[in-house]
Order: sequence, then structure tokens, then C-alpha cells
Amino acid sequence: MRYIGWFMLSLIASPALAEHGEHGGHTCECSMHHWMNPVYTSELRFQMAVIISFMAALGVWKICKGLRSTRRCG
Amino acid sequence: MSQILILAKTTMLENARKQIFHVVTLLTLTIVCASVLLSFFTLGVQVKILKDLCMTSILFCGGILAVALASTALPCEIESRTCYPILARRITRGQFVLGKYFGTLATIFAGLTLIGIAFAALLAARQAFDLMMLIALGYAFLEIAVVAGIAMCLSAVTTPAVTVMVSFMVYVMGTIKIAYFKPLVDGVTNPITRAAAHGVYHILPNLESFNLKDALVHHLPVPHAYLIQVAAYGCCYAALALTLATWSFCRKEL
Repeated sequence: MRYIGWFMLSLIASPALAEHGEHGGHTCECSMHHWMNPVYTSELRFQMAVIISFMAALGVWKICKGLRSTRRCG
Repeated sequence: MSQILILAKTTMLENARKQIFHVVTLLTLTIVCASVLLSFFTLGVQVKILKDLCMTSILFCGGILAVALASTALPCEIESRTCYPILARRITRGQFVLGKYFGTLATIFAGLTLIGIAFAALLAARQAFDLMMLIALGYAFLEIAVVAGIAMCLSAVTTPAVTVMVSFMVYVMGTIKIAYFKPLVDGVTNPITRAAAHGVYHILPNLESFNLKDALVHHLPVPHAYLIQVAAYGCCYAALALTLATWSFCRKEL
């Protein structure tokens, strides 16, 4: 358990210390943040479009399946 | 709806007794409290280090809890045969999956609330409490909801060991998707490998978008449109994962 604790602490602490040490405490502006990066936003939109179309197709398929079974029974 | 709530409550009570939940939550709470000592060594940027460490701990703890709890929620019920009397009642399999999912999320939310209160108290003690902290925590929780959804979906298809491994890989790869994975995918020359790598790249969730740590640490403004878009994306991805989980659980022979 002690080793897991040390592992988690080193994993979490090292990037934070390295980043702030490198920048000397100034506001970080050297890299583009993800909310300003068009690659992130376009990827988000693309995935969202795919998910929504898939869900819509699934919904239509379910409705059609339901209608077909109703017709068979009725 | 009431069936889902009852199942969620039972799952929450069941998860709250699990050892992994106690260990990970207490370890993260210790790290959050100990970050005061760690930030002491960096003169001038204590608050920044404190915010950075606490947010990273919360994101990491949430990810681990989501993977560990969500991937065992369904298989444990099947293995211990406790799902049979539940499914024999007027509860559909979809409601069962949803109840398990929301129960798992409620457990993680309870753990993260505890850590969040400690984080807020540490910031308030330094007169550095920021409303952005609550937004960043909310988006961290949304990321956890997506990871838990993926773990739940995988647990309906494979064994718990495989689910834990794959969902942890998805969590790590989703976190570094665009910063590290995209250059690797773009560098592939073989057309078949390239197509496969692009397929994996587009399937992976973009978990980095939920990370608003930089905005909190450096007091950067985040556009509202982006926040809404990321929230909608998180809900869509979690809904897709739950739909697939329900679909595969409905077809599973119990």
C-alpha cells in the first residue's frame, strides 16, 4: 500500500513540478490550450456528429422493428 | 424511474463498502492534503502548484475509481447470482444497467465531493478560492462519467480483468489522444496500418477536453460555447456507451 501511495504521488507530482519549474511561475502561454486549438474542437464535432447519427439510426431501426412486429401481431 | 433509483441506491451502498473505494479515496485525500507541504518548496507559485496537484489527483483518482467500480458492477452481480431475483421482477435489463451505472457514479461523486471539499478548504485558507474550481470539478466528473460508461459497456461483453485493462488503456490513451497519439497516427506510412490507427483514433474519447486544469491554474478564460460543446459531447459519449452496454447485456445469456 505504501508503494502504491508513493507511485501515485510521484506520478501526479512530477509533471506539475516540472511544468511550473520550467516556466518559473509565469503564466503559461507557450502552448496552445485545448479550448483554443481547432484540432480539438473539430474532433469533438466529428465524434458528436457520428454518435448522434448512430443513435438516430438506432432509434429509427427500433421504431421500424416495433411497427413491423405490431403489424405481424395485429 | 423509481426502479433505477432503487438499484442505484443499492449499488452505491454496495460500492461504498468496497476496499478499493476506501483506499483510493483516502490516498487521494492524503495527496491533496500533503500537496501543501510539496508546494512549500516552490516559492511564489504555491497556489498554482496546489491547484495543479489537487486537480491532477482528482482526475487520476476519479479515473481509477471509474474503471475499478464500473468494470466490476455487472460481472459481480452475475457471478454472485444476485441479478436473477432482481431481473425476475418487473425490471428490464436496460433499467438494471442504468441503475448500476448511476449507483457507481453516485459512489464516485461522494468520494470526489470529500476530496473537493478538502481542496476548496485549502484554497480558501490562502484566499484563492475560485468559481472556476467548481466548473473544473464538474468537467472532471463528466470525464469520469464517460470512462465509467466505457467500462460498463466493456464489462457487459468481456471478463472483469480484460475490462479493467482495456478501459484503463482507453482512459490513458483518451487523455493523451491529440497531444501524443495524433502525431503517431499521422506518422504511419503503411495505408492499412494508417487506416486502422485512424479508426482507433476516432473511436477513442477525447478526454483531454474535460481537463480544465490549465484554466484554473493560470486564470485563463474558457469560451462558454466550448464548455457547452464539451458538456454535450460528454453526455453523447456516455449515452452511446450505455446504449451499447444495454444492447449487449440484453443479448447476454445469463
